[in-house]
Amino acid sequence: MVKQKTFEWSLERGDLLPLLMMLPTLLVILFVMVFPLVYGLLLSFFTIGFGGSLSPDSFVGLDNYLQFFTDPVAMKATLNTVLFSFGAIAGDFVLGTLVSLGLLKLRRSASVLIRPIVTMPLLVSPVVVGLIWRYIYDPKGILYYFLGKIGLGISNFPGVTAASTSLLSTIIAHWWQVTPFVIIVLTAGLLSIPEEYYEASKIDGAGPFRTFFQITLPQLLNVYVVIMLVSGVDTIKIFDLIFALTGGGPNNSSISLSIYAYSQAFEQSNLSYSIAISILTMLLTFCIFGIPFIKHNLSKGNR
Amino acid sequence: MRNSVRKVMCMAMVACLALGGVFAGGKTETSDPGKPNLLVSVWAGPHADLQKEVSSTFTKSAVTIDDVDYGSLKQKQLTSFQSVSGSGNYDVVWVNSQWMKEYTDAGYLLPIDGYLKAAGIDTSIYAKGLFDGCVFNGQTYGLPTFAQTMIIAYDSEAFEKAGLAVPKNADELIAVAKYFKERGTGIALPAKQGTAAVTLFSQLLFSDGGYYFDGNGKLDIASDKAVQAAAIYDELVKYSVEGTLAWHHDEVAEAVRMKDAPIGLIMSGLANQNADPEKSLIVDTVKYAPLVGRSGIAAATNSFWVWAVAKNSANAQAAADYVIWMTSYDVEKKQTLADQQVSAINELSKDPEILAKAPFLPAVMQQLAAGKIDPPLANFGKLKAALVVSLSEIASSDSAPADVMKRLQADLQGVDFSK
Repeated sequence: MVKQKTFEWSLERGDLLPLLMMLPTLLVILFVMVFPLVYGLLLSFFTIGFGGSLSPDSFVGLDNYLQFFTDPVAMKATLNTVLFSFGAIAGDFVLGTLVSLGLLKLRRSASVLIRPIVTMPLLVSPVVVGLIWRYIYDPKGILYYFLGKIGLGISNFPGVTAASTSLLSTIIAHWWQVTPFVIIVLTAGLLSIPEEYYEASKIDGAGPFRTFFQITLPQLLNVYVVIMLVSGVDTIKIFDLIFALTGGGPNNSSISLSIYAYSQAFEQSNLSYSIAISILTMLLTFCIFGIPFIKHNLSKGNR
Repeated sequence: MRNSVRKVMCMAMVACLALGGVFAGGKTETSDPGKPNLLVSVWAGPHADLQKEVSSTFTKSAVTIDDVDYGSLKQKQLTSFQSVSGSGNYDVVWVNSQWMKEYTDAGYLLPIDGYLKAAGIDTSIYAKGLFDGCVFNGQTYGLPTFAQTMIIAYDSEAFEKAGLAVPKNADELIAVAKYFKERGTGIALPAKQGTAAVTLFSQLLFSDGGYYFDGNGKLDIASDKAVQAAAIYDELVKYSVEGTLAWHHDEVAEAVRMKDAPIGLIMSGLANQNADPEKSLIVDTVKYAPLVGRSGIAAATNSFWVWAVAKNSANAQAAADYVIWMTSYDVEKKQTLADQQVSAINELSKDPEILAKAPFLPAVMQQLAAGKIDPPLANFGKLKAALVVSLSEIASSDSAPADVMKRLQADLQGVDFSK
């Protein structure tokens, strides 16, 4: 019979050193990330407002979560959030790809000048973006000035003043701000594609569309996945831009989950329900963007 | 070449630092070693600069004013109330009257009766309707100031040209709005999804003798008077200037000031800007009138602010001294003369010096006298939030006001409004 060798911890040998080295980081993660999340989860099983305390009387179990699924405003906010997220990411991808490809075709002197200008909106905070676009969408603003030049007006595109176009209007403002981020990342991706691939496709007589779909797009797939994850998380929790631009209206047509959670916490003093909404938003983000990202990484690992 | 690059970099750094200083937030400090330091939270509204200036003359404490935009003010105050005493939390808070019930229920504010008694303050100098909004369960939690109400502001020149008279009831107001709408402008009013629209609706409701609840305290938001107020609101939106569906109070006041609208329903707290030649094109022609209901009576949704002491303040005595000083006759008069804020002190509204400076004061006082306050009920926030959406639906769709109000009444049937 073979005797199994057991590991003996030795302080003298410094076996605990790696653990001690990691301890500060683990403590920070525990207190800054894990503890607030667990405490938030706990609060969501009660019904309390700001200043309230946890007591057996205020325990409601899963009621806040069940209420969410029967609350028409919460359902509308969920739909709006998902629509906003997909609309925003789709536009970011298309516009970002077109602009980054266009910038690569420019002469170096021109692209050096234009690239910083194009990426400038990225430096503006979302609240300020909301205020800028509020003036753009104003009936006396620049949008309606140009629409007026082609015979159109606020009745043709009511912008933030109508339920039918308010969400789209916020998505357009988001494109303006976030496309520069996509341009920067995609440009880096485009520059990493070996030039030989394009030379070979040219020799084979491939046109620009075929070259794009058979070389550029597959080579950029990983970059798109990363952008989708970053933008996805960013758009699902959208708050400041919509809050500044429409306040969630008209008639809740542009209300997002984060705005609804804010309204529940700070306007209706319903902290527990607000936390439940936030936790469900987190789960929604994980389902829509986290799971595909994990699957993508696993499939890459298998390959 | 290298020197010029260095110079450019230095200039850029200086510019960045200067801009950083400009945008580094709204904290203004008047420090003096040996005195207690007070951190005061106020709304970064049109009076914040004056509050800072006035506070700098307070001799008993060193005051730091933190002025925050309205959208973030309550959130920041609530966060401060949760902080440990003496950890940089607010000592004094400028509280919207509508938040008082929530704050006192949660135990965030300190009762100041003892401090008022010790300082020999006669609270009867304050308008009763406003002072009562600071008293909960028999204890005083602050002192009222800066009363606001929605009034009519109009360009008298445009009215003269059109041969129009000042509207004396809601039907005349709608007719005036229609007249201007047919000529390319219309009335300016807040119709963005938000609480400003509720303020307008409530004033129309109160002016015609209505209320949110019936005599037994049961929700009555689909009553004839409530439906009538919603219908008047709907008509006014129909004849409003293009873009009002995206306007809150500030945009409405600006539209009137910049002559984009010859008539507007503005908050009295913003009326002082009409007299500023740098901001207004109607300095010499602006006039004011009460916002009347169909009955011809004007009643305000009494909205005001309260100077209160945070319970977690480490300098309660100094904070109470500051609150008492800020709401004293002389300091209130100084502020009213400087930027025409409406004080809660009754006598000030009769002061000829002030009346000459604030021509909108008679309209405001008329409305405040007949005004009502929103009920201090735990679930009133739910009604208000639902009203925000319902009024937005009325303004932005073809839904009939009566149907919307009936649906609202039905949706809120299960909500407890008894306490």
